[in-house]
Amino acid sequence: MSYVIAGYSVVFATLGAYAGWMLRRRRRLSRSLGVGSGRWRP
Amino acid sequence: MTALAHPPPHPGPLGWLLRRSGVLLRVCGLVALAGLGATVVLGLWLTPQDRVMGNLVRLLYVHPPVAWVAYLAFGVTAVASLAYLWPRTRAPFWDRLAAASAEVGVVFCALTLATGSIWGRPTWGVWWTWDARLTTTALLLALFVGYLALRRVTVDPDARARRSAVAGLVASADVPIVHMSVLWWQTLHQAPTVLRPGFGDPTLATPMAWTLLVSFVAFTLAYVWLVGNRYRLAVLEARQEDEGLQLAIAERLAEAGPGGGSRPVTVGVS
Repeated sequence: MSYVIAGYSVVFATLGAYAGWMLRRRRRLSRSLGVGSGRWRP
Repeated sequence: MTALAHPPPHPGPLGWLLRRSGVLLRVCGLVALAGLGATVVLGLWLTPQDRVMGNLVRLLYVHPPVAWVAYLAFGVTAVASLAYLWPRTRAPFWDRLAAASAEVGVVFCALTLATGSIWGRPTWGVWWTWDARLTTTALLLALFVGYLALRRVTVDPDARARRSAVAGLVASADVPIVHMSVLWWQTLHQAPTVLRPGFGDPTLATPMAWTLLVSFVAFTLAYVWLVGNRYRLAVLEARQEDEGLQLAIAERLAEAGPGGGSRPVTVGVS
């Protein structure tokens, strides 16, 4: 079972870390460019 | 009748989708989160053990879905790259989508190798072997890491987009080779369980098949959410790049003297 726990942990920890990095970077960039989250323009 | 000051850059269904992307992504993220939670509960506690593999079968609910998302991500990169290279559809949207999908694909491809290795150790007795499936998957990861590196070394946005699109197409050609490797060569890795020719015959017990389905849907939605957010980040990065460029040009013109500073500076958003 330890291999199973290791497999699940690697997947969810990596995805969580990647998503967290992305959201933090987006928030930082939005703030520095003066773009509010409600003013999203594709 | 007055013209719009900022006409939508993507008319039609694509523009509609992008304008509503905030709400759609939020919904997608919530459903993905619930699905991933359900996968953990079903996969670790509610589904039965396998007669042969025991508890190790629980890795089935993360390893194949993660591999599927890697295939999907690189497939989307290939389609978006092709759309960028096609003169009629060429737009920065396709370049950004290809880049966002490739980056997410690299994360999922690395996870495929990691979970496969974790599964391989107790099953085969080794963390790694130069098996056709493993080797072609490692090559796929290396190709897309190279693709991301190529995007960083080219400064000119047009040249970067063109070169990356060609590289993305070449790298994506490895996806069918990875998938078919277990059928084309003798490998330690088992043949496909789900995405195989003659999909009709069930090889999984019903609770396992349902859990696998939930897992596939959840990871696919997580991919959509990640790519959507990565795309939005790419748009902000492009704006920051343009602002930096504007600033640098303004500084150079100011240095050039009073006559130079009066010239208009225009930099288009790539």
